[in-house]
Amino acid sequence: MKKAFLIAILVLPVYLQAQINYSSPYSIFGIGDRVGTSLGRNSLIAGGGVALGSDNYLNSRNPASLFALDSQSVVFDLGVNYNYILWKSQGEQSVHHDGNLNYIGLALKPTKNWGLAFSLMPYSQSGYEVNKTTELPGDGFYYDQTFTGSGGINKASLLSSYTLFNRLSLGIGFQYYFGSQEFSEYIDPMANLTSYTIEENRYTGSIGFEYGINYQQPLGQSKLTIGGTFTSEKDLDYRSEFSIYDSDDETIDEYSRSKSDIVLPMEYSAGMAFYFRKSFVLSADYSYADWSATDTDFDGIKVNDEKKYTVGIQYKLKSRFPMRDIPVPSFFAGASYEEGYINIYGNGINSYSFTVGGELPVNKGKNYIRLAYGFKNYGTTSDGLIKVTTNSISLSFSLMDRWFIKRRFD
Amino acid sequence: MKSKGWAYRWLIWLNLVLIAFSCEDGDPDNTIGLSLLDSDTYVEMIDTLQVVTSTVQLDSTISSGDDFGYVGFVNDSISGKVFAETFFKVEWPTSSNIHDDEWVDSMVLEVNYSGFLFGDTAEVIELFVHEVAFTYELPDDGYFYSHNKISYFPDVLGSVEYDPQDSDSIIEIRMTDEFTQRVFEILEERDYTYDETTSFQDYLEGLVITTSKDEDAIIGLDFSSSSGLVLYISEPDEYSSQREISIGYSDSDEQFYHLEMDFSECPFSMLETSNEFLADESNGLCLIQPAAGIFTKVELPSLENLLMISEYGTVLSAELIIKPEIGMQSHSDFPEGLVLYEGDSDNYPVDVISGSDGYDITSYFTQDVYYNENTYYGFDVSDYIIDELSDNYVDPTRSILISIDNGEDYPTLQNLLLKGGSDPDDKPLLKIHYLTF
Repeated sequence: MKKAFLIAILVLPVYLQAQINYSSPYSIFGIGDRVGTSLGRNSLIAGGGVALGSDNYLNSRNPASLFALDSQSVVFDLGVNYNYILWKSQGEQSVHHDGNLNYIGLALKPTKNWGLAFSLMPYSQSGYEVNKTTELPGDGFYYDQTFTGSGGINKASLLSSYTLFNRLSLGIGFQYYFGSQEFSEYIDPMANLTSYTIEENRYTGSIGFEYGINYQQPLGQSKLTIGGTFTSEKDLDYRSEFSIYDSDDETIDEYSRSKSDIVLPMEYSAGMAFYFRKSFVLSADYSYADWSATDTDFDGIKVNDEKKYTVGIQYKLKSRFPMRDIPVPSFFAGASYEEGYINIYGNGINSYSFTVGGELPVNKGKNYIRLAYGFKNYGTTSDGLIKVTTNSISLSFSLMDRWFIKRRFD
Repeated sequence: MKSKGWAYRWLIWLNLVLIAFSCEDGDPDNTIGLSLLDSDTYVEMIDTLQVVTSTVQLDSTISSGDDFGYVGFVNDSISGKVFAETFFKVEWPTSSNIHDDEWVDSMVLEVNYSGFLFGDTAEVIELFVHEVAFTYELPDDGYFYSHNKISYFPDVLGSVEYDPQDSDSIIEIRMTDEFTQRVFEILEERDYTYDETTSFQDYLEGLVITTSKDEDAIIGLDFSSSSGLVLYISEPDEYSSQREISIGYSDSDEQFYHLEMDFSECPFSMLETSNEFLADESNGLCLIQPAAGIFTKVELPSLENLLMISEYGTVLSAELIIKPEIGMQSHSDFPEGLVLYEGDSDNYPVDVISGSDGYDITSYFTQDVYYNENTYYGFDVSDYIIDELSDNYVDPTRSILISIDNGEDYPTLQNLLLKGGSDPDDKPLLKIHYLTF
């Protein structure tokens, strides 16, 4: 496990350097599309789980969730996804595909009450390619333009939680936001004339803190947990480097500037989960991001407060042969509705989604593999806007081991 | 340990999956999302820059060194009266070896017709050969000019009536018997004295091919593959055999043509008194006649205004459009191509303007066969304009000279009228596609 973990860490920079592959027209604005902060099981229940505990996976929704880890255990999480995306607008449609490394996480519990975790996941993503041909009237001269955007902001989190009185868990997370976005415009005139590229590379960095709380209340064979998180407002510093160059890679002009006029909003979330006799889990979450207080204006586009409502259900089959090591799967389903933060022409870019999936323990329950299907619809075709439909397949793994044990024979 | 090995294999497999999954495949023809984009980049067509044209005339042009000459006379409706004659020298043959019993039958001056004709194509032109009266040497700068003229004796040494429509391009001018005998005796004396130090010019300074001013055509002469003076030598034997002795032309540096221009009775009479005048001063017209040192000059006084369009911008393409005058010329008179030179402050063509690919910028001709409204010569001057603007400074002394591209090293005597002036329908245009970032 440790060797495998080390290999993954060594390969990690490769994935960080690779472009985050994403496709969404609304990612043109600002920091791009805000993506769900879901690892492991959270992605199987539409990104919910504020009140759930990190038992066999890292629940990055709440720093206080680490109470659920087994003592001296280590969980290593990793997930990938594939998306089939359809853009529709004014009778036209276009199809896009992308695949990505979703996240990577590591959680451990050195002592009975103290948990630590590290996660790396996207915070926002940009991805689009739009083409345009312009013909000058009465002239016959035309030129093509291709607008592309890629990259995004990642969030690296270092989480720590401590359990008090066996039921109350408090957590804190140190978050580092970093990443780069590249926006380019390629102008290709007709008749083999020189083409030009205008490129902006935007490098961002910011730090923040997240606070979490979780309380578990036993109810006979069942349990009720409630949880909450809070993240303060933070300035996002970024540096932009602009360059204009021609098709011979001769630089026409280049300059850079530093700004800090993007503010990431204050966020809080609240949720509850009802565990029914270790078979069923029902969860419900509400998340809120106060964009309107940031007074942020993305190139003339206003922002709305972001709200998300999520419900989820988990069901674990009972083993008919509990004495045998036969893996018992669990099934998950979730649905969410989100009021997005971008407002275009008076239209909020809202979304609804649902997910279904399953989890299978392997290797005597030390590892888990999860497969989920997700459907998401967001945007609108009103006022010439775009509706985006995404069908996705996600695959995730949780690898578990025991550290901090002095073995007689290793 | 089994659990460690199991995780190890999972992660290696997963890494391979991740590499395969890190991809993105979009729709290359996608136009959805344009309404969301806000780009400040655009291309606009600008054709309002001022283009000032004028006719300029050099004092003289180089007329030697190309194995080429002009001869004839034309009273042209555009250029006025043009008279041309060509001076040349001949040199010793490689061997003459004249025997005592040989005698000269006849002698011709052979020169090739180059194919160039200016004036009446149906004209039969009478050519005369005279002897140059004075010794002339190559000037210090190594060139003769079209204004250079050497006096010659009035006696006609040979003449021919030549029809340029004749399929035979070789012009044979029968020389007089007296001159023939004289040349024969020169060769005899050389053979007798074996003196290698004398030159043929010690006996014959030079010759000129000329014509009268009653003609109506000027033709081009090609000396490069011509034989020169050809003597036909005979032997008084029973077989009456004949041999030839060729006295070839000397170095092309000592061949030159002389031009006399009289603009007094043509639309460009101002050329008699001025070396430069605007198209607006000559009824909106400009003249090109390269051999006479006449070019159309193009200036772009407001070109620097492009530098003020935007902070970030560049010229994508630039086309110079200029129309030929139709009424005074027929389509058959239009040259196939024009070429651009960079002119200095004295209106001298310094160098051919070439593109970034190193090739000369030559014109393309568009002909409106039905209405003649859209007949024009166009030049792709994109590289020239971009270069002019590259250092954010436009040199006001730079100008463009338009000449006729005849594909040869020597200038053509053909002329062309171009429309200049400020008439909105006919004025020259500089059409620029400008990209603003």
